[in-house]
Amino acid sequence: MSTIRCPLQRLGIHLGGLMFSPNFIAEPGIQKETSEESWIYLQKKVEPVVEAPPAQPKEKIQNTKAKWAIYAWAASVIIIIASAGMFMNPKPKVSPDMVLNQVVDLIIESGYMKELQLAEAHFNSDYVQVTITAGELSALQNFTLGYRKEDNIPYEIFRKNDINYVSLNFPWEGNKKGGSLETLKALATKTVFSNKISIKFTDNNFELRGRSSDIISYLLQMADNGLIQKFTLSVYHLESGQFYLKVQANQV
Amino acid sequence: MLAISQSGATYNYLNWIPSESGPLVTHHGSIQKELENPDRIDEHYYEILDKIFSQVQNGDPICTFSLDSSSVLFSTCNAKDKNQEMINWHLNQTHDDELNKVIDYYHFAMSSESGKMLNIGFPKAIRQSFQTNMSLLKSKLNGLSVGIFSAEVGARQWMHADKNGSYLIWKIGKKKNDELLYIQNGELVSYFSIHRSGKKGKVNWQFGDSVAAESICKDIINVQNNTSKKFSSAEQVYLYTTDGNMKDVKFFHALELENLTLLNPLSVLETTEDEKVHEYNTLPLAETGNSFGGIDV
Repeated sequence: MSTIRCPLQRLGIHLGGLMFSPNFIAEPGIQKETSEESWIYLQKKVEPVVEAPPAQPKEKIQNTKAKWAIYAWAASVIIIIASAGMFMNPKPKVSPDMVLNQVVDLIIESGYMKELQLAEAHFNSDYVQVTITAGELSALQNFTLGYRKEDNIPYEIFRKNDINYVSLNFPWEGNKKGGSLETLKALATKTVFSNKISIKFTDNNFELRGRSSDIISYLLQMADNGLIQKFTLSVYHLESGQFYLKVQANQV
Repeated sequence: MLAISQSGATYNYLNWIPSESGPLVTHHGSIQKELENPDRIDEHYYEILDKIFSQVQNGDPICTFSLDSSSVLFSTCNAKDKNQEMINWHLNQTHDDELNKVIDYYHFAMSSESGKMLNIGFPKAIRQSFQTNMSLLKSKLNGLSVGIFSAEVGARQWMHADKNGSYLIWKIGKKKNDELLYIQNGELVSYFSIHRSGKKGKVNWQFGDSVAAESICKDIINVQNNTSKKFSSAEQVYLYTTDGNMKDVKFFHALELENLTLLNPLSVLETTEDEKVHEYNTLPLAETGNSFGGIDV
């Protein structure tokens, strides 16, 4: 077999198509020559909420005493607003992706860290309550001193039956409508599970029992399909070491 | 950008950053890890990615991966004008339901003259494990490719292979069993494997144009037997190996054929350290090519 080059090819230009570059991140099926698909889970930094500066008085103040009185009055107002803000504990700005990542991280950490274990996580309509256990109180204290405190997430530490607990409340918007159990069934058939999985459907519930990787795979599939905020979810870490996920459609 | 490629239990990596003069390589190397439990493939890849990320430490971990070609399935079908019904019919004829539950099928157009599609079956479990691991590692995966197809992207980006009317990507394998891609006018004509025995060769398997595969096999044997001083079947030939016989690579390279080039990215890319690049030992980095898709080198 010999190759004949046309004049355009001699100039470095060929008349054919573009050789394909496989990218299996793309959805299966007929592929284009190139695909720009990617999976992005880079850690997003939570931007601090910047308070708007107080408005400047427009009128010129001649009297120095009056100026100081206004400064003192403005300072008092700022202190009162700031104090009220601290005591009223406004909801911090935390994205749903970040909350889900935190829960997934805790499920993973429970697999190899003995000192901290995820006990339960409940995705409710307006908050996600995550409960973590530890044998040593110091482990929980160190945990709350870490980045979770920096995110300004309210938490409560307590002790019950010789076990130490920390309960964190993440802000959440889980009241979206449109979730159906049929969608969950379809998603389960698309997800690849380990051979330790057990799935159960009832009229109102979808239940999944398996390894941590099974639960994580299913949660991420739900998130990718925009479903996670359409359901009420609970994740339990069982004594056997397995994880149990219970999902219910939000009530209309 | 961290480019990782798998060859058996070896994971080669090359980290590069953009610079005014093109990609600048900051790290390269390899790690070894056997798959201990096929049921826990997600944990296997997690440990590999985590280890390479910690060795490179380049801030936001953005990477590409090229899988060993033994992990995927290949087939071809006739599907003029990319007819999806025809492809589905072909899949129904050749695969069973159990296989379809665990494999995702991707279809790529081969040369327009042949009207064939190359089908690559990619395991759902591996695909899903990468997605999960990217989430756990707070990372970004920019591309997921496979073996010699990733090296072909590298040949285009590093060495402008596509400026040739035809070119061959030649991966020297173990026991003289090689893998080849033949591209003509920017289209895949044949993907095949040959065995280079002493005086004659044979085609082990092929997808696409069988005549072209037979002809290239003869051409390679002629070169091997010193009866030809140039490859006549393709304008340019790009040679590499990942775990094959380095002696064979050195043999062909020593022939100083005018249209044979070693497919080594480090022979083209600049590195941060003024190191002397070993032109043979770093050849496995060829399969990190998918990291450079669309990049001016």
